Amino acid sequence: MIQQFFSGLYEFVLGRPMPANFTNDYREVVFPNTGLMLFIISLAMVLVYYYVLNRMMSTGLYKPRHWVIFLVLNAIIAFIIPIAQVNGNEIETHSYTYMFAFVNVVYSLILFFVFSLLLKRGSVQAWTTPMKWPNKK
Amino acid sequence: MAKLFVFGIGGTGSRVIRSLVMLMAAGVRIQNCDKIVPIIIDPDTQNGDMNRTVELLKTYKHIHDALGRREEGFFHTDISTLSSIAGDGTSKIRDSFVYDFGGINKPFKDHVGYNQLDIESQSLIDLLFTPENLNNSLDVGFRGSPNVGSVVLNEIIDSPEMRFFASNFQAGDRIFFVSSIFGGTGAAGFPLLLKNFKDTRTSLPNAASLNAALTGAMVVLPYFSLEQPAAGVEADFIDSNTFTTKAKDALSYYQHHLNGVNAVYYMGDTPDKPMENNPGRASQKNDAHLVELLSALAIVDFMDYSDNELSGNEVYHEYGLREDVSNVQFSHLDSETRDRIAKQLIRFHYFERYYTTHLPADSQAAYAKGVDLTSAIRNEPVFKELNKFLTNPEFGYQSWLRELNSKERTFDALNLNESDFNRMVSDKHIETGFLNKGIHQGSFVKELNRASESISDRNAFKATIKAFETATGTLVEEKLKYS
Repeated sequence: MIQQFFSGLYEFVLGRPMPANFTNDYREVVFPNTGLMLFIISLAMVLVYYYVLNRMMSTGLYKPRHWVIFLVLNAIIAFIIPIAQVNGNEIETHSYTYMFAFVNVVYSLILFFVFSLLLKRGSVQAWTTPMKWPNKK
Repeated sequence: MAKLFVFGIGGTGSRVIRSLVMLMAAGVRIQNCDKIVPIIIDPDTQNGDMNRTVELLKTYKHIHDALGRREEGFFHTDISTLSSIAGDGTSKIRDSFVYDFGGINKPFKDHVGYNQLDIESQSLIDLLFTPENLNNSLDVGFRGSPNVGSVVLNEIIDSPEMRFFASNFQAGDRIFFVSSIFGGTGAAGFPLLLKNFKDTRTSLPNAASLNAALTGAMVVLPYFSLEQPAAGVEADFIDSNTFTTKAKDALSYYQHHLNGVNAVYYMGDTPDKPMENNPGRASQKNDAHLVELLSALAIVDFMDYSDNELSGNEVYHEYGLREDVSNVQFSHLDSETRDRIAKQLIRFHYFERYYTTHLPADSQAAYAKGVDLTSAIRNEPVFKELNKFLTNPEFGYQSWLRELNSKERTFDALNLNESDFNRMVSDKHIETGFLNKGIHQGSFVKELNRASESISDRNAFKATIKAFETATGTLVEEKLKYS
């Protein structure tokens, strides 16, 4: 189920994994691992930003530029994970690998943004970051 | 709804009311009344002291009205002009904080019809008034001459303003006079108004309520001196060498003739460096003085007493500092005074310092973004009023505090030139270290964000003021630990 979901998610954009002899490795291991890690890390980053740094600790990192730094950090992690997964599973590196990493970065941006919108209301210092919408006072 | 009518008579009356407004802005509580009605009585319509107090009162009223009725906090005390107290728009008098003398701009001589009097009456007048008294135009005030003031001010009792005041005076309302004893307008005006309000045969309406009204007075004894012109120089001036003599004469009069006042407060100081001698008009704009701030506290003290406490014998208060020092800090004030004003003034000072210095950089902070503060500051007139109240070079808080700091006996409790919040309160600095930075822009904005979380008001002005009230309260209690 998870395998199918994540394979579908990446293959929808990237097409069939290349080289062709590693297609099953991608579908059974790399895609689900990468997808799950992306989901968990993005959620953790958002929780750290809104609830640890801007609720429990009140570090003053409430400005949009601080949020962007976390977004970019998450994107960098999202770029590294697929490459690490490919190398870790002894799969031959291909241009597909880098396209996969790039798509994962795009997904990380979307996911970080969506988690931010869903969770920012609970932050004291940063509930208006990156923007006030959809929360109202 | 009990009201307090504060009659600020003459230049000193205006200046004390200026300090009272600052205390009210800081949130100092005035008990036992719902509304304060300041009435400034000064025939000198151009008087600099009076005009800036009036501007300050108008600005305060705008801000208070925008915030609405509240039990505590900055600007929570309601003030009203005399004409607005009826509340139904039926008053026929001018809507102003100043009594309207209707432009008396002729010499005193013409005012009393000197030339039409018979020779015996003219001689009597010559005996009571100097040629300067007779020839000076009344639109400059009474130039420190209570004998002139007592004649002119006697007429105001029959004015539409006084009749309106009396008609709207209700049982439970109180009256407070603020005047100097050594000048012209105040020294003459206070006993005269008191006598008329307390006269059982007065022609004013609502006489019974007025007669029974709880009444207090702040009598300001000499506390400044004025520069004297060089010998041989022809100049228009007030002779401050006569202040003490006039004060003694007036005190002697009060001792025997002052009836119907429940509490009298006296305050004075040894004059320091003489001030510029401007007998009236716009140039009479004296710097704020510690005595005026402490005199304003007499009003707060008077209102702290319950009706029963004031109903007994007359009580007399004199004010004294704990130490005779030049730079007065909160610790030099009596604990009662300190409890009344210190925390409120510190909070207001923090608010002013942060609002004028750091707030423009906070557009991304939650407390500001949540209510679109940046655009509200640009578009809503009430923010301009607040800015005026804090920074106007003529009457604003900053200039008031700077003036209080400029005398030989200075009010040095709050340092306007200090940008470090940890060192702004003279008698209590916050110890900082590697892990404790005390109060700084970052900790302030955190408190503002925290405070704004529990504020449901979506009005930017109300929400911002409330956030500052809560944040400054927390900072004073938890960081400054002021007690």
